[in-house]
Amino acid sequence: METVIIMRYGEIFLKGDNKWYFEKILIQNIKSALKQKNYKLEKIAGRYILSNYQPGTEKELVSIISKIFGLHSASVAVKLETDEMKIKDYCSTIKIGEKSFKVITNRADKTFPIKSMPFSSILGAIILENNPKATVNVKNPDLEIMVDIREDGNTYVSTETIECAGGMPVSSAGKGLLLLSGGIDSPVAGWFMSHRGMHVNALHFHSFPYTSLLAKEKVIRLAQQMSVYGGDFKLHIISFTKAQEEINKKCNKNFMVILMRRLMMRIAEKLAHKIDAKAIITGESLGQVASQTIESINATNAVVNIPVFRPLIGFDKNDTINISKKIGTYDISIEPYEDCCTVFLPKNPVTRPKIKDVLDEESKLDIEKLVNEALETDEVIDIIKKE
Amino acid sequence: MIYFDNASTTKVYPEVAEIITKYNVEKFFNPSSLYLPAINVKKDLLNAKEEIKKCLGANQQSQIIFLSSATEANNLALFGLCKKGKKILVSQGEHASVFNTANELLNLGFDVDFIKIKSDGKLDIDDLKSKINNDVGLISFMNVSNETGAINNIKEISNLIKTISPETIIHCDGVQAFCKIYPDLKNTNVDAYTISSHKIHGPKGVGALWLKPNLKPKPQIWGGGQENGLRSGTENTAGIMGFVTAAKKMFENMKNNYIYIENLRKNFIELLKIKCNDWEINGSADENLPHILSISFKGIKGETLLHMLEEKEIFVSTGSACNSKHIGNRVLQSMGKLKTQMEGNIRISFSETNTLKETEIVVEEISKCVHKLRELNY
Repeated sequence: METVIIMRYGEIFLKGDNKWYFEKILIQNIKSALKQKNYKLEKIAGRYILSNYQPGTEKELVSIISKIFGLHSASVAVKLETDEMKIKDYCSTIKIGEKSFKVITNRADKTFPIKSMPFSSILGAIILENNPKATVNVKNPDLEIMVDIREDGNTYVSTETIECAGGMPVSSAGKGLLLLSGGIDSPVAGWFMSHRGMHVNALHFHSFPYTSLLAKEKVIRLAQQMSVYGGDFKLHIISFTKAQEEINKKCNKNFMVILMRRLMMRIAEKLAHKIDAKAIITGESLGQVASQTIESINATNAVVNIPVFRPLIGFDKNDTINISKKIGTYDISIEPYEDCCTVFLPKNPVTRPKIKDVLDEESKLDIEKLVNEALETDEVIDIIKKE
Repeated sequence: MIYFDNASTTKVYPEVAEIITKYNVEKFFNPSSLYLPAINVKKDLLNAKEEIKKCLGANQQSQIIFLSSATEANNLALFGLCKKGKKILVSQGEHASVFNTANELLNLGFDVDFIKIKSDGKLDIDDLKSKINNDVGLISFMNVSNETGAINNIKEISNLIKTISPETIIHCDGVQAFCKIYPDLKNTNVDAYTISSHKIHGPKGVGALWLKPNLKPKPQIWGGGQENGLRSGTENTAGIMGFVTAAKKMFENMKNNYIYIENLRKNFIELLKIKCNDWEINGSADENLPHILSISFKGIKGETLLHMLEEKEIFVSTGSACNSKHIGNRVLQSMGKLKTQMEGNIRISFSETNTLKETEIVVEEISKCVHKLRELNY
């Protein structure tokens, strides 16, 4: 009796003529996620069947699969020859203890003699007979036992369905450039855009010697953790030291944050064009800190023409923290190394900057030169998806 | 490269590197094996213990337990020598390997109390006197502070403790003192003393716990019964032989090195006085071990200074992490230092491999960086 893993996609199902495009990318992503493994992958009527893998590794494989965007659910299933007796025999061996269950039969093979509903009842009775403490619960069972009778002469029986990451396959929606700070928010923002199929590359500003090289190492580890969902990508590390020193020297210190952020956005836009990214992504959440008031966001947004995605804009901090824990970035994010946003911080930052004042301060700087000099320091690190 | 972080770790002497290779490649035998080459290695280990005892001024009947680090030695001392129902006293100035171990004992339900340190970094004897009594089963304090170089007089303090409470076991962390000052253990009342290899140009991964004769801590690792049953696990023979080679050399040159390093520090301080203002030494410069110099610069962040020096290939240390959420240094705080003093702190630590020329360069670079940072008002 062979064990296989069934993978099902979600939203792609709704696509029309271009469905093949998304499926092709999804298959590539599945293969890339499982590149270190031996297996056989086949597609049967809107689902993918993984077989011939090393026995006993189902849990590990499902854990990897559950993080592939575009997949909706996965199940470990037993593959049987479609034969009434064989299916019944197998169901008599299922052990579910005291759990409640229901059987759902999907009779894609219409030549199978018993219709779905009555067959579910027959199998349910067999399972109940062999699990006297189990109960049937049709509305809200602990376990849904799926019996999938396919046209190819095989039947797949699974007892558990695992929810996958959902969304759209990474790289099916173009490339974006995430401003990755090292804090809790930006990796989550990146995750959301990967979830919608974007291939997220990242840009980190560091301020050595005002920040430690450990802060940079931390960001590299964050990026590696992000790759668990987002796949391989490039991390750009740009020195912001010169720019910060210039602003600090020439401008009103209370405008430090807003001037820094406008400069960062300009650098990000120029880098985005260079690497063919079609959007900038930030982890901003409205009103969370002084630089994320609507006035500040207006002031930073004004310097770029490229779309800026802020998937966390309406999120409470706690919601973001919960997601960062789920995706494994939280523990790295809270390591105590400062990022460049916290150095040269004024005591009284301007929270509702007037654009005229900002422009006055900015006129003291050679913006183009600072942008270009920063871009010259670009260090590109290939982030390879963590196994 | 100028390396002024010798209290962190040191460069292995070339002869130490050689001996390590020899014991890894030629004399690689397991000292517990029964054939002659292995028995010879066992003999070498026993001789190594005698050499270490000489460096400590310890009685031949006393014991040396080799283990993987000073941290392990401190753990063995505290966990292995604490007594049920008896109090444990630990100084507030201790290294994390003692301080956090004491806190773990506290979590496990032991009665643990902390002895204050004074503004000069030394143990507060009045506070010690008020806390020591016959209920104290174990006390641990360091010989030399890794943060400031403050020296505790272990002879006087151990005599004082035993006069009040003869049964109290006294453990000293001697990591920063070993082969820099002479502890003369046979003339003290100290019962256990921790030392480390990599602070004296030996390899990392080796430490030792010296114990008075007949003192038997509870082992914390079980197995084949090596090190008289106190530390199972095949001995790190190459590391131990490297350790003892380094110790012998350091011990032979101890007095000369001390004078040489005292001169380096003096020169450093004098130059810094000329080149830079608004700084202070943490602890008492005249009485501290000259190898360690803790300085706080006004109005700057020590970690930024560290990184600026790093750019010039000058390596120093700071005990205080540069972090907006957490600024602090437990030891400096216990000495009563202000937040700004802790923030502006760097630690310079010399070895005899450093030169006067290097002190000149480092002082020059420090003053440039400090001026720049103050100009930036950072």
